[in-house]
Amino acid sequence: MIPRMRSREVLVTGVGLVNAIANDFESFVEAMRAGRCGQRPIVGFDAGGLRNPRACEAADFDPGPVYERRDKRKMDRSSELVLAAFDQAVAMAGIDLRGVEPMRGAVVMGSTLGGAVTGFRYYRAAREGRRRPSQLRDHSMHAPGYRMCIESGFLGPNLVFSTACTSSNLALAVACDLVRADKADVVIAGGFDPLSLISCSGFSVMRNVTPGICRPFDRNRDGLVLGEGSAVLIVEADDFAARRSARALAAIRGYGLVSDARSMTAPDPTAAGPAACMQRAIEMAGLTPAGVDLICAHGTGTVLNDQTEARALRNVFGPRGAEIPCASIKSMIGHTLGAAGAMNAAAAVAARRGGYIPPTVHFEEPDPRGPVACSAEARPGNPRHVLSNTLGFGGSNCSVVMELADDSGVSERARPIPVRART
Amino acid sequence: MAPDLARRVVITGAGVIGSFGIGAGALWDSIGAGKTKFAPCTRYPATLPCAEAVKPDLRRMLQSGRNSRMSLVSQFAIAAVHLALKQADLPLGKGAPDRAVGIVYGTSHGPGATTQEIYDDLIDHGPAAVKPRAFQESVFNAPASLASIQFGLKGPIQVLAASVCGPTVLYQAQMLLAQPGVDAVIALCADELCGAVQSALRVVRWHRPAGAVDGRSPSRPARGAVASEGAAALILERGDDAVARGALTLAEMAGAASTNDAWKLVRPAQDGRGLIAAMHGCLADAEASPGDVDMILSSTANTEVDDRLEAAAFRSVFGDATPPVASTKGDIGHAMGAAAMFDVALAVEMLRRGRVPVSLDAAGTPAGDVGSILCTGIGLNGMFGAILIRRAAW
Repeated sequence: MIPRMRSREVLVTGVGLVNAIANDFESFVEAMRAGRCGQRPIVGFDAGGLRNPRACEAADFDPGPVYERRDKRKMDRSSELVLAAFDQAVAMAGIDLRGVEPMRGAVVMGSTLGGAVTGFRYYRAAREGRRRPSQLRDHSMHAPGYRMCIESGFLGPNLVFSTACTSSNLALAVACDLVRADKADVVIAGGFDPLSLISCSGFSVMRNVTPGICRPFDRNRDGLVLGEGSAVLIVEADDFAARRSARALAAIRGYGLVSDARSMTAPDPTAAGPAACMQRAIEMAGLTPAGVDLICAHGTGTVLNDQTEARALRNVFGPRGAEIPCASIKSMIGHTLGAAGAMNAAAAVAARRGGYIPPTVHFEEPDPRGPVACSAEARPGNPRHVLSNTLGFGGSNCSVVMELADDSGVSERARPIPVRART
Repeated sequence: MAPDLARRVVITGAGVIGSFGIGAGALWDSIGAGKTKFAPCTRYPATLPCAEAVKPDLRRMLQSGRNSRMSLVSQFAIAAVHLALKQADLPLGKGAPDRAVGIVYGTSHGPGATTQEIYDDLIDHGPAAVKPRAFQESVFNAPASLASIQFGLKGPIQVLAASVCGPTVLYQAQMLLAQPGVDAVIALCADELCGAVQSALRVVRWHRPAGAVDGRSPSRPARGAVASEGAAALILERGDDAVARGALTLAEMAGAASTNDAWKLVRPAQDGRGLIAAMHGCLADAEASPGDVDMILSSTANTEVDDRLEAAAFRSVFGDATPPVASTKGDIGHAMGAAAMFDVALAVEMLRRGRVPVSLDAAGTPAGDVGSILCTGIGLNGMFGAILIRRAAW
């Protein structure tokens, strides 16, 4: 039966992450403030033959604590990344997941590769006649989510979306739906993708990867840099959060989900799809474009993507599209593919915590064909309504609007986020 | 009391392609007919049996050759969507009413053969040997995106990677219909066979070994599934919208649930808690009780593990009054991510024809008395689901 959407607020109460510049939320706040770039030579595999042997690999990530809390059986890189972020998010939210009614807890993630790193390793060995069935435990894309279900005791849906770059924005949108449809009280939502030879080779032969550095929206940009990581958010219904006196970091206000229906690889030059997508997200949030004060852009650094996104911003915001503070965190953490949307959400919360607009490092010269208000350095600011964009391979677009809570202190409770007109 | 049609999900079109052929009629005819041969796949070196799908002639079907070189899973998907749209009489594109049609696509392994090709290129020749075309078609969302391009679908695209796709996809499709801007949703599941996937499924003991007996009758031991492939697409609309446009309602999708058992990797809870949660959730969603179910289409892969947990789950939910249980897997194989959706499509066809295929009828269901069919879903790594398909009572 089609659910009735209710007026429940969708709150974010915990954030955890791992990426090339930070292994937890607090260090992410400082790394972005400092404009740190995570690009470095790839160490996880032989990068010979790639267009760019450098990437934003989470090389400093130590999965040791993930194993210490659990059994010692080796898990896939994706599960390591996800569980590390999950542990942080749960700790920040101060939530006892076992206290959630099992059928009202869900996991919704986004990824493009899932356990492909282990899958490739298994396949290579199998071709040589060595089969290790245990490696297949983590191969399915929903395995990291299942691990979180096992630990939380959640019996609700364990979903993983794979719509390329839009995957984890879609996961946030669906988390929002599950809460508003009263199907769940708590949703563990986010995204993950490991750096792999498979994705690096693919983007390399498609010549989407820059041979140099990633400079989104700069007139001299020439491609993306791949990254890896995971970002996990604890998403709760306001009534549930209120019962446990939880502090809200942000609220997910709305989303847009629109496809170009045009090309697998080339963005629509008219930018109609991404513009419609942003517009819907803003409308669902109960805002007008004038109410948005930060754009967490998709901003991959490829010529066509950034040009399309800038055009869509202009279509939605008019001349103000070139003035609203805008940031592409891919200049620091690379393109984390299925994790990109969740990383943007984490960055928005971190920006509020740090009182700044995130930088777009390496940005030097605006592109006159599509100027946006990026800066190579962090700028002071207290963004409240954030539009986070993702534009995916295959023509899917997903934008999310978040409202950031006023008080970002870790030890004090944030003021309640105002409740909008209820439907 | 008149049903609230705005909250009812109706199925107005179905398209299937698989080992049985093309279309719901072919699926119907294959049940109990012993038509599908379980034999090694002809596309790659193999010893394991499988149920290979027919390749659709998209050039003839769509009057266009642009999709003929796609990966097979994309071809299956596009063929199924084409058939479903045609049956729903839901024209899209130039000259048609402007409709926001979304697509929710589920797959277990994605474009497996293309991914295997990339792996082979990487191992044998290095990164530069990966073909750009292969890479762009290896993403899980490729079949859905290509379908959106082919049919001009500008609504939402959702792609779920799941080991049990049918219930999960339908659960999400139902959620999408709650959005005011969405007029209809195409629920699509597709998977293709490839050597690496089939071999890995045998390694984890899901797949039946080469040379094993077929296990089609209860007297034969459960030995695992025979992998199959193909696609199934359903057109879902709000009941009032379908009535307003004069669409023929094939059936109602009365309830959907997607759950997990929160137990152990690759070892589902043997008490069937995941499936129990799914069936209870589905019935609650449909505002129905266990006594309302006339028949169950079971999703077990014919493994001992699946069979045991399913039996426990049925006992828990239905007690001594478990309705007749039937399975299509012995006839058409287990199409992985598309398997449960084939069952749903068959359930729709049963309600449309008002009878049960003879072989499934042997399970004890009086022909003509079936008004609601519960389709279950059991996946790897703790995924479960259930769908209740009901005769539309208006």
